[in-house]
Amino acid sequence: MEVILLTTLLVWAGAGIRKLRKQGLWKDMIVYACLWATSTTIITLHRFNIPVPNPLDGIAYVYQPLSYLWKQWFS
Amino acid sequence: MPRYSRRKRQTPKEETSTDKLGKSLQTNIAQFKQTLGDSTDIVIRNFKAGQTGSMDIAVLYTSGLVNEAIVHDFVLDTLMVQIRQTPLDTIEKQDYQIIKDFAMTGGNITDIDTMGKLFDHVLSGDTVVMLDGSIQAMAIDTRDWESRGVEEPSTQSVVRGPKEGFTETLRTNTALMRRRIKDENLWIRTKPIGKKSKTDVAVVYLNGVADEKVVKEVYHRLDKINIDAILDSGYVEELIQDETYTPFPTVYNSERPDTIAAGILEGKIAIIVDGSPFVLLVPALFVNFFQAAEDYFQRADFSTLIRMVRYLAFFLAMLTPSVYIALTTYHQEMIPTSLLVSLSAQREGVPFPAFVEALLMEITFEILREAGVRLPKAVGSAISIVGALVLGQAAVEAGIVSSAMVIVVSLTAISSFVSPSFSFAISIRMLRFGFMILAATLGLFGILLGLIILTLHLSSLRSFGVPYLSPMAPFIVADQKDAILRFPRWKLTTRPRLISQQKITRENGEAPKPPKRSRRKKRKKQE
Amino acid sequence: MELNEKVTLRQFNLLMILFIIGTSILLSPASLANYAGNDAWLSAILSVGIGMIIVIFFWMISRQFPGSNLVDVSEQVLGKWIGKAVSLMFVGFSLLSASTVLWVIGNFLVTQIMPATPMLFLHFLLMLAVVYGVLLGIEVICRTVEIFFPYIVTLLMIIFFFSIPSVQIDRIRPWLDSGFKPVLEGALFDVSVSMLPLIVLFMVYPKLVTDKNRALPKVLTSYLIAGTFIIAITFITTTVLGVKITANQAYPTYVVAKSLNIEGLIQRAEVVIAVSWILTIFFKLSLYFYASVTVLAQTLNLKTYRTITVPMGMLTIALSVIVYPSTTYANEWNETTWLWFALTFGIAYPLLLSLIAMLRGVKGRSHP
Repeated sequence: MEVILLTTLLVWAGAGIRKLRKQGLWKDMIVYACLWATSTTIITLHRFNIPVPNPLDGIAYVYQPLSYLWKQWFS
Repeated sequence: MPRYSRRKRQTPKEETSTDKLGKSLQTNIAQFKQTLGDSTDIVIRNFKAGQTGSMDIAVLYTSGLVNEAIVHDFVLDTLMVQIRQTPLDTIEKQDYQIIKDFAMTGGNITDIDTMGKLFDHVLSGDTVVMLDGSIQAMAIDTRDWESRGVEEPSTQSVVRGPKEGFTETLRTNTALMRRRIKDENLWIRTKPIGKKSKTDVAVVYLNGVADEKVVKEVYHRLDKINIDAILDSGYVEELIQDETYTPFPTVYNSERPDTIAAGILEGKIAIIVDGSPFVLLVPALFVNFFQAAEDYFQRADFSTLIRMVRYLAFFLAMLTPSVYIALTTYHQEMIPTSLLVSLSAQREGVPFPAFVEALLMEITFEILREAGVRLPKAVGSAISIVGALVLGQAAVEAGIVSSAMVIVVSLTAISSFVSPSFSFAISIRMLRFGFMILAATLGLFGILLGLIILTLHLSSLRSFGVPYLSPMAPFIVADQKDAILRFPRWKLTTRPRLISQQKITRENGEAPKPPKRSRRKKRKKQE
Repeated sequence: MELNEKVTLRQFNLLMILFIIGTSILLSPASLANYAGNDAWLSAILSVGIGMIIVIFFWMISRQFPGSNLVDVSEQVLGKWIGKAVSLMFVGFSLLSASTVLWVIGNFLVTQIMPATPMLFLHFLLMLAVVYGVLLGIEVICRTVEIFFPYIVTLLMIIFFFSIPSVQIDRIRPWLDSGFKPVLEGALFDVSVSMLPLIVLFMVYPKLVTDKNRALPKVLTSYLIAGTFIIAITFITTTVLGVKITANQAYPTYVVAKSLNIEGLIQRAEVVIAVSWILTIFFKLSLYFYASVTVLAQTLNLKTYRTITVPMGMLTIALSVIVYPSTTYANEWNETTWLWFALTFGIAYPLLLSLIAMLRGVKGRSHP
């Protein structure tokens, strides 16, 4: 199941990249490839239950002092 | 193949050959014969004319496309008998001009100087007179052929309203238009399309009312057509529509002159194709396919109600089987208990899941319908007996399908016939299967997802630049009077905003009022 | 960037209404009841009031930079490179919002309607529709909004109307028994969920809306309509279910609809709420997604955003399966961090832009 999923994603991405390369849109192609790579990696890792760093944790860390204040004020 | 009748002259386009006609009559005729491969329907009458019989004349025409009586009375008779006493060859070789100016009694005469034109004229029913020693020939309009008369249209029939329908002949059709709109701004322009068929295609619109950009776009798209033959307006429709990959028609077609005239009066553009009784109308919007001609001949309140029924039927035809599948497969809790009990009792002996059952029945019905359309009329009744008894009742009794499914399928079938436009009903039939698959995999959520995607698709469509879903999206308040609702006639005072950009106002709308009471009393007193 | 798309003010307003009530209609009552208890509806009114100030603030910003969208403004005000960096951060904001919204709807579908279906599959299907819509363009999405809006409103009205008989005012008495603070807290939270994300509309309003004369009253009116929906739904859920149940339910509105039973007339009305909610959230998701895609494309100076729409959709799906590991995590994160996250991009960011622009004397491009 995972193999089929991954192959589909890769074939899909390959088709898109080829189309962009034919049109000569290099910048689009690079962005396209990066986005595909990121999303495919995340989905694959998730499927195999390998923990992926959650971006929300990072954001929570940044805002930690503020939310701490907030809690103090309202408690 | 279409049959033809009298029509007025159009100048045929030079295409086949630009070879000039030669001076020698015999060479010309030889070339003519050779190119046509001695076709048997071409008549070439060669004779001598003039006082001394020194003038060599040939008359060419296609048998079956001309009115033979006219050819005999006004061409052959004139040339062979009536000008017998004229000393033709004595007057300084101006014979051609003299015959044309003084002798020919035909109404419409064109000069021909090339072989290409010669073929065009002869093959479209003109009679061509060629003189020896002249590099010109004259073509006399003698077109007249067997044709179907104006009959009641077989589609879109009405209970009340005109019963005339378009025929296969372009001239008859344009005449039907002229008879309805006697305005000097009704412009009819014709051009032949198709390298081999040279079918005349007429563009009809109200100049000053139709949006000029759309008119230009129509001409542009017609000019772009590069095809060898146009045999029906369906060819043109497919070649000029905005989007090919959509189940929805973006060009309206009708057999009814009143519908087309109403469209032209709204600022739309009609395209009449010779040989097809179906006239195209652009731009075509989603709502147009729910407006029947009769809506405008009946009372407004009744028409509004009927229109709403049509929209309801549209959704029924599209969604009934899929909702049934979704409910019985995924959301049994939504069915009222008593109904659920009887449903499951019916379905007890049925060996298939609801989706397969529905698919089976729907496909059977589509086959039945297709068979019914193509079969000779006499066999039609047999088909309906087979359909109703064998496939309906017997299938239920044999336990192949549940009787609820038969109800669902017949409801779908009847609903899909409600749409006044056949081409729109086809799109519903196709979409139905997509929704059934969605319902079978995802239940009601699948149907909703399908509806969202469908609406996105519909919103993205345009017909000649006009958004397909207007006046719903973009929402135009003024145009709501003739979209889902049908307001009283005196309120229909403006044309649709997006279709006709100019001359929006149609008439001064004023509600009919009964004579005032007081005046009536006064009148009584006077009496 | 394609600029030939046109959105009318009416379409924009309808889009805004759906964007505001998008997630709120199903989620707000629970969080408001959680914060403010009996005074949840007061909290909702307060949040609509605060939101009104925010809308006016946004309108003033849009007047300050006429005809430039968020990316243009950032680059004009902050310079090319800082502007681009900030825009990329904004891409992160809208992309994460899109994925959380996608998670929320996926979670709703999996827990309430179709428990057997894998979540990734549902996310994929929903995103398919969203990507298709965004590929067709914002104009098409707005037209779709116009088509669906009457249905959504009618469906919600049906729920409102038929829950009136079960309303019991006693359930939310006494008022203000724990002071004003919780009301404010609830209101602030609701503002952060419903109104602050309106910043993404800055990718639509300045350049694409065509008829902007006297826009403010119309925009405010439609904002108030949306606000009324939130207040009404909060009031109804708390009075029909009681505060405790409302606070404990994940989807209190759905429960209200389930409890409706007027014999012979209306039954199983939760489908109605599910349908209207899926529709509103579809548009909210589309708008978030549209904003992230267009901001990214414009920041990177791509000729068209359409080329990167599909992989961005894939990325949204990928993020949506990892952002919220569980409902508890989602609630906790929303309560502690989301407010600040939304404040940063919803208030601080435009405010800073506006102030710096005034200091540096930068003016928006003249209106095309």
